[in-house]
Amino acid sequence: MSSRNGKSGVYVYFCGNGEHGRELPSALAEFETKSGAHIEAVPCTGRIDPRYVLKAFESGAEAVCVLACPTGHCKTLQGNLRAARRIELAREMLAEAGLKPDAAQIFLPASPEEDTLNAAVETVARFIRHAQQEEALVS
Amino acid sequence: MPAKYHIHTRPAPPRFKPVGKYAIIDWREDCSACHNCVKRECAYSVYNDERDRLLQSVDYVDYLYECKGCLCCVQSCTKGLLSWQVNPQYLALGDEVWTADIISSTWYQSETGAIPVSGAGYPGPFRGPGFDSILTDMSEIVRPTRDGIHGREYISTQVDIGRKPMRLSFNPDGSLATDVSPVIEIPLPIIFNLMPWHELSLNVSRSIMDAANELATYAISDEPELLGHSAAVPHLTDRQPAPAGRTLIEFVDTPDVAERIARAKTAEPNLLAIVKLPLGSASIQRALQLARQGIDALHCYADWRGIVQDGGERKHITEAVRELHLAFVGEGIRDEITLIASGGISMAEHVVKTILCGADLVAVDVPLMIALECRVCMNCTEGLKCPVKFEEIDTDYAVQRIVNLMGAWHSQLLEMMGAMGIREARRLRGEVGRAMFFDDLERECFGPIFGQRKASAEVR
Repeated sequence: MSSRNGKSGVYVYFCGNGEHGRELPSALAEFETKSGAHIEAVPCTGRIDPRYVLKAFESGAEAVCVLACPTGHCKTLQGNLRAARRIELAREMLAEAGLKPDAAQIFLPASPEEDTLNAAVETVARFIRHAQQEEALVS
Repeated sequence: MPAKYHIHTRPAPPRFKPVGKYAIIDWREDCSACHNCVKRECAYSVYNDERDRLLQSVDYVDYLYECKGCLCCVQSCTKGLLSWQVNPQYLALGDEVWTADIISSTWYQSETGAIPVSGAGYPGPFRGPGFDSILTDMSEIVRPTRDGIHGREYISTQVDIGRKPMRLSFNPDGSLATDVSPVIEIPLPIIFNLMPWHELSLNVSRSIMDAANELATYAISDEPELLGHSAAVPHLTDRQPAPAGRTLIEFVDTPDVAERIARAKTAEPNLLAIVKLPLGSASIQRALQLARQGIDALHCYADWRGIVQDGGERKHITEAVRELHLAFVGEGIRDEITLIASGGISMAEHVVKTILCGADLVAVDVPLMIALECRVCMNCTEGLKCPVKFEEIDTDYAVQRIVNLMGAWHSQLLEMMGAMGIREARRLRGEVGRAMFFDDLERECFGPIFGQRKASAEVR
């Protein structure tokens, strides 16, 4: 398992300005301690750029995951949709470079009505577990 | 002419990435690649730096919040592709007194030693609570000779700690008959206080002492191993004996404090005694009594947010200091005591405003911790992990960060005093002619016309 600062090589970015207020950040902060993944708030997932994702892999990431706001609930109106397109582009570039495109993922919760917080954390948890298992297999 | 007091600042980079405020969201898919792209015009080179940093091996999210918020690019992009967001982590910093902006600006000053300049101007309200309800009268700001920082005029920030006689008397042979008490001069109207809630390692406490020494000021300390430090002002509780060889000692107020001080002065005639007393109208009589008993200085304190619980009333430190100062003036003994005020002083302007309200100098505490990258998250009070690893702080780094902060504050003191037409920090004390108290102005000017401000409309 590659690591920096004793953490695993899984990077999770989520929108810090989402409708979840401060609940998701604190839930993810707890989860960060347990899972050892890098979890970081960004001002909007529309701030994520394919270059950043590639840079993350270059800096040692094994997997990158973006947790966006539900469709229709982005404060900048289309940040989550644009992030989805950019992650798709990053996946294509990863494939061209001979890396696994599935290592970059974006999750858009279906709607804000469902239990978003738990669902989001569970989604991220599944992704991290999967990525960490793959890391272990490789090493 | 004596040599100018100068604080030697030099860049002291932070150990952790500071929490930035602004980020630009970019719909780059729709970009027309204009030849005069606004990104090239960024005055702070944020976009160029981002591009350059992508080529280096740094954490790639380090530049998410580098934007200074001037909004030039947002306003000028011909296709309106750029928008602006505030970092939610930034908004979560601090509290209503120790605001995110104060914390962020203190980090900047500690890193650079320079006066903070806002790229987007001042966006706040005209007035606010506490220190923000006092406006300084910078009526001399246009005078060309008031440039103390750049050298043609000398603006002194030196203050004295100790009793001064109200008048002098002379013997028939012309020699001085008045018994003149010892006085300590410090070149900055600031000393360092005990920390209100941080648990400091010995290393950090020593760094504060070393920084005080470099600045030629003092730091109050209750750390037994540091009481011999040349910049230390030992803080004594009611049972501790006074250490030998010290010229400045702080005593906690007890019924027998005057006797304890008299005993300590017998052993050390040059000793200056400071008594620590809470602010509030209940303490005024005690303060006057102590002054008559020959105490040299009073350290009057509010809580770390600058609030004084005065009976059932909440007062700001500025109001309480003003009341105490005026009580001494009323008794005609103001010069016989030095007033040191502490609590809630978080910016250079607060130093000036506290002195304007009647203090001789101030004691600062939490800003020193913010200089060492404290985020005022209070994790340490709950036994949680410190996000900036206070326990791993290096002494050289800590000393330079504190010196830088005081350097930036000193420059701001000079700016403010120059603009107010005051060339001596000692003359600033109680100089309310150079201050405007917004509440008083409003009551006197608008009150007769519009009546009393309703509580619900109060700016908070």
